Amino acid sequence: MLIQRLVEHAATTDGTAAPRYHRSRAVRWTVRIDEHGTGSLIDRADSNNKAGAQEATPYLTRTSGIAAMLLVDTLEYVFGIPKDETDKAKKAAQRRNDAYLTMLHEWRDATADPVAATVCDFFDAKRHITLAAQLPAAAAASEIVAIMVGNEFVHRRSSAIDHWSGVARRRKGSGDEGICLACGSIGPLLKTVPDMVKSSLIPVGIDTSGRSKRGRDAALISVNTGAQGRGGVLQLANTPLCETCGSQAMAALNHLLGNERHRRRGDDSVLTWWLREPAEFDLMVIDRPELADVKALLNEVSNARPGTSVDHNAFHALTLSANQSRIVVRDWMDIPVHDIRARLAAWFNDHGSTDHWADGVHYVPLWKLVRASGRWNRSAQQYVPGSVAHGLERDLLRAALHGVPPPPHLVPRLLHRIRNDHHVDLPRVALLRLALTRPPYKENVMSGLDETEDDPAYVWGRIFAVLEAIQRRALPDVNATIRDRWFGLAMTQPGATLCMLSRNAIGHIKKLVGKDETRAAGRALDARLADLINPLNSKTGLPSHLDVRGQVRFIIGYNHQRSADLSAARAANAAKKAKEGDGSADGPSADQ
Amino acid sequence: MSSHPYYPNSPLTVEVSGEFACFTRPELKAERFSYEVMTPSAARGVLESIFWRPEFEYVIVKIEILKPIAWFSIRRNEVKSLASDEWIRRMMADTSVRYDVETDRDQRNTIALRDVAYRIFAQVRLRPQATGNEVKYREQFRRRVDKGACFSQPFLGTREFSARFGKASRLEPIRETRALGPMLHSIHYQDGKETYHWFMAELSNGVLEVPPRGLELPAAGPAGSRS
Repeated sequence: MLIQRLVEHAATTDGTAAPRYHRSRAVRWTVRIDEHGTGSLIDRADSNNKAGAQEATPYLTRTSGIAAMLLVDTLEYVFGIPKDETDKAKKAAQRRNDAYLTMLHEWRDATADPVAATVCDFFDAKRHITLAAQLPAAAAASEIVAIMVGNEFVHRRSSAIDHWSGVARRRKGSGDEGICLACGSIGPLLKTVPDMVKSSLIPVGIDTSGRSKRGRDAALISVNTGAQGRGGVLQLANTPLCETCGSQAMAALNHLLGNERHRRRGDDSVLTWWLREPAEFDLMVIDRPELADVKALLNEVSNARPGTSVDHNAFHALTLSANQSRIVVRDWMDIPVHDIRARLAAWFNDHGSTDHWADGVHYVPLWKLVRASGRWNRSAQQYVPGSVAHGLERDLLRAALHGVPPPPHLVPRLLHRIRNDHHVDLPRVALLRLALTRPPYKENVMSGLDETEDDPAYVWGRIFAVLEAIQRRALPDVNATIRDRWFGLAMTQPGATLCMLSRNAIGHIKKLVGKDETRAAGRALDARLADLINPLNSKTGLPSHLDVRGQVRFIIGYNHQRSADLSAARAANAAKKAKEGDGSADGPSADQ
Repeated sequence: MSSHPYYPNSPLTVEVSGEFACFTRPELKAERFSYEVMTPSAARGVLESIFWRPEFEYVIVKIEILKPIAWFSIRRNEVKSLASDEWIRRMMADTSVRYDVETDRDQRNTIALRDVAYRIFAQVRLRPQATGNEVKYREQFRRRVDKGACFSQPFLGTREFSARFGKASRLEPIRETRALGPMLHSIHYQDGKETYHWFMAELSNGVLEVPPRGLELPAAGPAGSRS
């Protein structure tokens, strides 16, 4: 199924354009042969491409033994440069160089292309040995060399592409013909898949210093040991795939993983996605949620009525990680595009929240949500790198794409973090709201302040925000606010905490009301506190203890009240400035 | 692929369910990935573990999917090689031969199905050597299902995921329609070789219709083993 979809993608204009059995590789050196048969060596490295510029070159997976590529290969194959100075390495390099020259001769004998004869004459005359002497001592045997005749890369010639396809079929074909599992038509079947996914395209985790670890080239379809295949049979004996489908599927996968618009890399896995037919859709909106894009998505989904539009396009997504040289498929999606749009809209609807620093509802990039699960460093004012919840990124991505709840460990972990570092910001509130709006809670939580909500935990969060505002107004230079001192206790024991903080608040209000400049503010804050506490007291009062759900609602209520207060303050400030601006504009004209 | 011929009797039904299931896709065998639903060959295995006679074979007509398709992932330490008759003979002959599992480790990932339930509909097709009539075998099968008797514990794709089974209930199939792509239909054995038959699977309102036979693909080579 997934092979079929990759093959279909390769056939689209958005798919790979490279010839079959080719791979884009960094070519460091070029041997240029002029019309007189004289060769020169060109170094293709520059400041942007230190390993040389990328070029689609003949390539087949080389697992072990000697297997030369046509025309473009390593310095070891083309010039016989050994990996080290041991006799063993020198003999191995010689054998590889012989295999390379043999392949060139086979190509010349199989084609009438005069360029093939030119290239073979160059190597037969041993002129390449002169060029090898010009290589710097630091040149590694693994650096890639291509051949040019005149101003043309020889491996791009149709005779070379055709010959290389024949070589690939001989090397990778099983010799049998049969029905292909992917396309359903009869054709020559593969013994092994001709290409692997490049090592750099699948992340394999990070080391202790936070840098990405180096992986290996990995095969999507691989049966290499007895216990993996059916009845101990190795290779693709039980997985009939024709050469066309095998090579196209791998080319498409490499192409997708290499395209930044179609992949999202995590620490130890990568998500790649594509549409059956190219269309205006970008999954990366989950990492870059521009307000206009999200609003357009939400409007589109909310305005769509079932049966009013027909969209046959499909969304495919693969989540891959690597197990040594094998690819692990962690997730596979094949759903209509309108379904994925609806799921993304639900994702934004479910986590959008208000922020302290700007008005309106905000949507948080997924990577920021993940980062917010880490530990907050108060002195550095940032999350401690490497402290995020392990595997949360993949779980949240899954929640977004499949429309499922976030992992059950998210809420307790986040509450633990908040209880210890007292840091409540937009990403954390968004995460908590997401957890509360999806199963198992499935609660209707507003994205901003809900003044009609009478849930005691939510109201307690609002009260705590007002108590903090009173303290901040009365003691502007206080070192440790009530949030720094009592937030952890307030999360779990509202009744006792309110009793204690109310006594302090009375003193703070008295202080505010006692001065002319703060009297109005003191009375307003006192009234707001009373508006919140009195309805509670008339009913059941505050609970003595909050469970997990209550703690989440407390934090959300606290955030909503704080955001609303700051938003109102910004509006008042703006109005005041506007008024002052009008006054100053009138001043000079009045003088005149 | 032709449709089923006329069957004089209504199909046998049995309902199987389990916590986990893995009907491994052939293209993703090393790092296993399951088909979305039970394959006909797995369904046949379940029926044969309940009741089997050489005189007849089961023809799977359709499979109803009774619970939503849900996935889980597990990573386990396994081994690379298989035990063979020859290797066991060698071990028995030479008591100094040991198998060190630590040198034969292979960590493999499995994406499998969680909380599954299927209703299998099958017909009984008599083989040439059959002496009894079809009703005899059908009634034997029905009695065994009623009693909960089985020759061996049925499993859902792989042996570690054992299955419960019983009479058909009133559970409705899930409301899901989608193409599932090429699926393994059956495995045939001849002259020590296996051949695989495939069909294009399609889920229609939670029902997987199974053709009487699939398309044949080339035979696999001889099996390798632990040496």
